[in-house]
Amino acid sequence: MLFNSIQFALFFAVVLLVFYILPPRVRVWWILAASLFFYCFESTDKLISDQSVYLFIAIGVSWVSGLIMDLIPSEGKLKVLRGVLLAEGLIADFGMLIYFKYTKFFIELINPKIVENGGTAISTDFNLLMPLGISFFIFTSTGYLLDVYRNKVKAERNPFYYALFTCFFPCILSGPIERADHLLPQLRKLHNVKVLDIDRMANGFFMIVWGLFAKMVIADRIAMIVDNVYGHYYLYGSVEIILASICYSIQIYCDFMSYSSIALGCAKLMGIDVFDNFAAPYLSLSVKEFWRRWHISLSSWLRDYVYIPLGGSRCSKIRKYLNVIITFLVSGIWHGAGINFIIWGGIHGLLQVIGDITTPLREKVNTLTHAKTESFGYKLGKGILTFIMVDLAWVYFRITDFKLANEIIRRMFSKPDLWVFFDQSLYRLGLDRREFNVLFIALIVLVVVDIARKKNDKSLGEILVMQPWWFRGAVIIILFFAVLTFGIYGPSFDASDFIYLQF
Amino acid sequence: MKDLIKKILKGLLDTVRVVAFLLVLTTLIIIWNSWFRYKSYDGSLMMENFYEQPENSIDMLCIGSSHTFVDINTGVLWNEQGIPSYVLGGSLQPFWNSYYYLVEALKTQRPGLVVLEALAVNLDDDYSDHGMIINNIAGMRMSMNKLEAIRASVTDTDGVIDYSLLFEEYHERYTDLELMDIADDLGDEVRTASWKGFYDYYRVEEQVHPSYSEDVDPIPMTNKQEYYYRMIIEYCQAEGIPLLIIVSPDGGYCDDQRAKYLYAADIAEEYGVDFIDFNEYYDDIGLDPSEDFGDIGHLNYSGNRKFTSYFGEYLDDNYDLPDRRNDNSGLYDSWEENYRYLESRADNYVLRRTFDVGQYYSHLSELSDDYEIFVYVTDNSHLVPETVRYLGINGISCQRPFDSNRYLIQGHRTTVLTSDDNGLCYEEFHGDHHLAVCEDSIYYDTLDIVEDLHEGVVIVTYDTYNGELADSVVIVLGEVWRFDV
Repeated sequence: MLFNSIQFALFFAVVLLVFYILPPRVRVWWILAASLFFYCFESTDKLISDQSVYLFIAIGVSWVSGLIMDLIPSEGKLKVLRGVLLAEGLIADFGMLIYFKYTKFFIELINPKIVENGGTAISTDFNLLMPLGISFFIFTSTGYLLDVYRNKVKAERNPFYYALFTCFFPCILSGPIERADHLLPQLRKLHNVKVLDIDRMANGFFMIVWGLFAKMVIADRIAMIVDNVYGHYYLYGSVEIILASICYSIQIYCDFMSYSSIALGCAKLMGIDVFDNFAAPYLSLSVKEFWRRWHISLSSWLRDYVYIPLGGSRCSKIRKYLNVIITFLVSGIWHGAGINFIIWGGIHGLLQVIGDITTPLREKVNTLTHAKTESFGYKLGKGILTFIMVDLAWVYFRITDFKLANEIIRRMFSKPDLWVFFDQSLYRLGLDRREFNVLFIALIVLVVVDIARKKNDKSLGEILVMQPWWFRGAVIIILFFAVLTFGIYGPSFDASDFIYLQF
Repeated sequence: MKDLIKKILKGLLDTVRVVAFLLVLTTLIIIWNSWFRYKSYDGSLMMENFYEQPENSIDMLCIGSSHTFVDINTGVLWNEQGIPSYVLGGSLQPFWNSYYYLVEALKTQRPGLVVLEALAVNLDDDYSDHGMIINNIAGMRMSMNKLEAIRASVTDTDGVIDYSLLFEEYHERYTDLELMDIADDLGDEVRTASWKGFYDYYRVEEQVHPSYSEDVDPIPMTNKQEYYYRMIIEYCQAEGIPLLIIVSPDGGYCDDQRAKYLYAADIAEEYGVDFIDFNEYYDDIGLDPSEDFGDIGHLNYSGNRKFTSYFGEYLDDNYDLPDRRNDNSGLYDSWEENYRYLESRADNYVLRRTFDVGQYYSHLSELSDDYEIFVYVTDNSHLVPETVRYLGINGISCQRPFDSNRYLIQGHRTTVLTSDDNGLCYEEFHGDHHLAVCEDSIYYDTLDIVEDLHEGVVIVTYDTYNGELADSVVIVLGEVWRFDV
């Protein structure tokens, strides 16, 4: 059930309505039931999908491991048992993740070596149906295990609360990746949520329509340019390829951000705060800042459970840089099973390291040239430079073939065609003039909203709540109708399908 | 206490705000939906308009494919037999959609005869294309019957939800919004008020006389089609309404089709229901394959009049349908309007297809008072005798020099047009169209019909009943030249 489907709209409307009607003490059970239905329901013929079993395993293993771990003192002889339990939980969780997500990738990786040594390549002609959202619920449950192990949180005694923490439906498919100390206390206090809280409702509805707007009006529209130009890169010159790559940066941002925004809005309407995952990342002035604003729940997960355990920054410089690179490689491979994702992660790691190494030099140059580092122009330049670096790295994220990605980057600088700005060529990139205009206006809205987001350093919903009630209402209504009218959804409306006398 | 009052007041205020927001949102959704909902004269609007018909006013209900709404002319049936009929068709309408349309129709009407057009026997797929499904269900009001119609039309639960709400049809609709989407009367006041589901096909495509073998073996239709075909028959019988199953004249009629129709005829016979294949009466009807078809499967404006006339006589001979033409209750006024509408549109089309000067003037002379004919005689025109005669009949002297060169003829009454200070002689607004006769030009909307014209007689014929430009020509040296409007 996708967030931008009519099925989800109906599902969520029922969930919310019943949530408000039910006695407060029952709410948590209702949300758990709704979450399990959301994740497990397949069809009227087959009520529970086969893949659901892996979610139950993840929940069961981490809950039991956490519980036992909590009973064992963290000091003394039995301490080692905690480690064993942690290891068992992590192996079970990551084992599933690796099995489903990376088996084919590893086989494809070693096959050439096998063939080279005279062996027969292992067949990859099998279909491992990956459980939906596995990357997210595994990270949620392993994060919980590590927190219990470190005594950061107490293990959850109630298996139902824990199950809801892992499979909370707004977050299970695309995040944000929640933490036990953040979500579990809220679940326990669900009965205290006020039914009529106008600020919370405005916040929640806005986040939902904003997410839908970003996904259906921007991401899915701009994807037409990206798919067309990257699919036929050989037909296009530098400007068009650069534009397509910028479009892809926007597409992937709006796509990821939209799911998080809808999740945040849905949770908000039920009185639950989940992490705000994106904070105007393209307005960052450095790659480091970009990662503080991009997919925040994942970045902080990697920081807390990969980077810091590796030693973080409290070690030698070389070791620190290595830690950064390893963390970003993990981030890359988490995003997908492919060399290109590893390269993408590696590039970001390197950019961070280079940024760190060159900081003293850049500061020196700034001092020598009396650069006005607080001026708008300076920041704009930095922002553009950051965007260019992030944008180039996205090429490797999008294109699975390394050589092709290099070729596309080469073409960005080797086939100048500035005239496309003037000869209507831009309208042939995948969107006609009308669609292009809609996109252009939508992008202006995106920029304005992101600037407001960065300036206020609050979630968009919170910024909106600061406004008068009529303004909030108008914003929600305008976005809602923009989505209905200009959103890309359902089968394409082709008037020729309906033409008179098409017998 | 103060705090409590404050709290209650805040709660009340919040409630008012939420209610106000929901009210505004709901109102806007209703308006938005009325603009963006799918509208097509093929199927959906036919059904929507059906609900507007006075209760129990329809004596004959026709259901079936496009052949129904293109071939059976409701205006002719009214004019010649006094039968108030309605066509509830849809392109490639399978029998399951016909069945649910029938059930829907009988909620408000009690026709004396149901006519089922049998083209669906040729449909081999158990599920229609996306567009056809929409055509055949979008117009139905939400009810269990509609949900069942959708269930019969789609394969899965998701499909039932999607087609029930038709929500997914809204996107990209903004790219083709037009007047009919926004205007209450769909941008066609006359048609909408009196429409009976019939579509006059203004197109001519030459066909050949169909040939077929007399002795072909019946070929069964699909199980699903047969199931609903029988359901229609049984439903009519259960309701006590006579059913007539017809095959209308088809330019593509062949042995294969005939074999399937024979199968359908056998089933009809099994139930004692009348079945008639009008392809066997081609010559009796008087159809001319070179003139009477709009395309291979459909009769045009000329063919449907011949066919319906013949069909009407058949109904008169075989069924006891009352002649409602003398009914003064007002219940059937819309059928008279429908006839008038269809005839005037056909007159306009005939005018547009006439290239002979003599015939052209003859048609103009026969037009009713509903037409305004603007005549603009250019100064150096060489008037052919036909023009001189036509102008003479209308009291316009062709002696030189002219005292004026712009005239308005309406029902043989001629007015000499003079311009006001701004050079405007006459103007008329109808719907979203605007006709302006100026000193030097005639504008239809912003298009200058006679721009740069120095020769001949310009004739602009405006149909005030329908609010459309019937034709605009210039007659030069005995030839009719048409303006591309």
